[in-house]
Amino acid sequence: MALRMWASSTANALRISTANASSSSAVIPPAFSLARCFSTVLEGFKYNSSHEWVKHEGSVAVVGITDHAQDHLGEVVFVDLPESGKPVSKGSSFGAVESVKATSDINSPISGEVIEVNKKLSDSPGLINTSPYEEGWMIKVKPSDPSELGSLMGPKEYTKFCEEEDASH
Amino acid sequence: MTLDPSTNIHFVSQFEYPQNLQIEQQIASSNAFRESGPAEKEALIRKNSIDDALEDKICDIYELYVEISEENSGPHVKVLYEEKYIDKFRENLMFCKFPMAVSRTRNIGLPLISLLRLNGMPILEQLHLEERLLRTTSENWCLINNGTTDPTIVMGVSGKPVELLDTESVLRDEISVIRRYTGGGTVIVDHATIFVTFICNKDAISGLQSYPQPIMCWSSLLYKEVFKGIGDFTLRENDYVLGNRKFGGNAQSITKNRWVHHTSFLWDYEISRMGYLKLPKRAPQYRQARDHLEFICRMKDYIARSDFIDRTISAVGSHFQLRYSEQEFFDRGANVKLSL
Repeated sequence: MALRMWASSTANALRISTANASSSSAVIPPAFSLARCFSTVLEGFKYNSSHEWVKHEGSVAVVGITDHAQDHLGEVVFVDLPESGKPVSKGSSFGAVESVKATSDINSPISGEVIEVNKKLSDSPGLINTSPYEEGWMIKVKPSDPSELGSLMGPKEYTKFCEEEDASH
Repeated sequence: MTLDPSTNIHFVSQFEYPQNLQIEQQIASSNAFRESGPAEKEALIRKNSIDDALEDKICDIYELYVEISEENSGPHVKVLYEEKYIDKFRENLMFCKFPMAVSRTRNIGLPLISLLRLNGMPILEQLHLEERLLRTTSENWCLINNGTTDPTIVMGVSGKPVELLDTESVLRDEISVIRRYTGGGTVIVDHATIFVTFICNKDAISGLQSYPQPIMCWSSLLYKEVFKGIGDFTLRENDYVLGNRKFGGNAQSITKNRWVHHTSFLWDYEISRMGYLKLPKRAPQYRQARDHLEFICRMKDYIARSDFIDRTISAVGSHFQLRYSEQEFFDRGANVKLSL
């Protein structure tokens, strides 16, 4: 699956139309990074420095981890998420993913209350790898302070951030 | 205690901090050096001698040592300037008898790490301690626990007993089962298991990204030094192996700004206890469906127990500046009494 995303990103980069457009690009044309992993970075999303994304849709904010994150973590085998009704706080951990013998904290880009949790992830944690921005969404949050979005990175800024992070290591 | 209804196994709670810790804090020692004869000592000293800059540093530190001694001792300190005392100081300096001094000479610029040597701490207490150090301190730590008490099964964060254990025999023999806070698989540990844990800030090690693969690779470099000349050590699909047999289970936990990497090394094991563990659904390719006894090996067949610990401490010392932890870290926060 990762290979297909890579191929699709490369094809887009070279302005070649693909025979089977992946479902993730059907609705939103992706802005993509030509950084060495060809990680996908999407327009309309906001990003934090610990590689989580948030998409604000009216009164609901959807949260997940980025393509860069899932690529560096490896195959996700387990996801630990909070229950609906629990509070989340910007910059603090709200759950964890397990991959390759490691649990990694997931940190919320915004504060608010969890109103929905992606139940598909308990049976199919791999959705985080194959579709980090769509089917791999983790929680939906009712934001308590929408102005927090202002301090997050946009796609171009986040792409640059990833490039710099990868280059310095 | 929480009960897993599908198997009737009681999980011991992960969230109670221990009231009493017995921790033995020791200087990173070099028993091998102290026990070796004069010719070997000479050879070891020569091997560890570097250059004039180091020599100058040693002199500076010796001056400092004398100053401190003068403050504390009195007139007899002038004998310290006799050659034999300088040589003795230099000998000891080279082999971590004065860890702060060593760190100033050999390890200038390396990150600090506090070394905690534990003996027979119950594994649940060790895991509690690790989580506490991970989440409530900002220092780098290296824990070495030389064996635990009772045989205990330790599963990864997502482990399901019914899939991973022969629950009937586990319940019959009343073996404790713990679910730890890191990922990875299932191990059974006892007095013959040696635990080594690193708890580090994410930017402690220059050039290391705090993701699972890079951390694993870094750890394998450290252990490669430990096993140099001892056995055919490699990192194979996230396992430490000698030849093609696993002798150490690894796991990690990564938070926003810190990470933990811990290993349980099979110094020795009892064949019958491996029977509590089923063949896992998820297994590395190199395992090739071998059962436990064909897949793992004993470290004791390769290296003496104290040698392994000494060599590990030495390897840690080449990546970090070693130091003692301070008692205040244990007194602040939760009610933890420390007896030394």
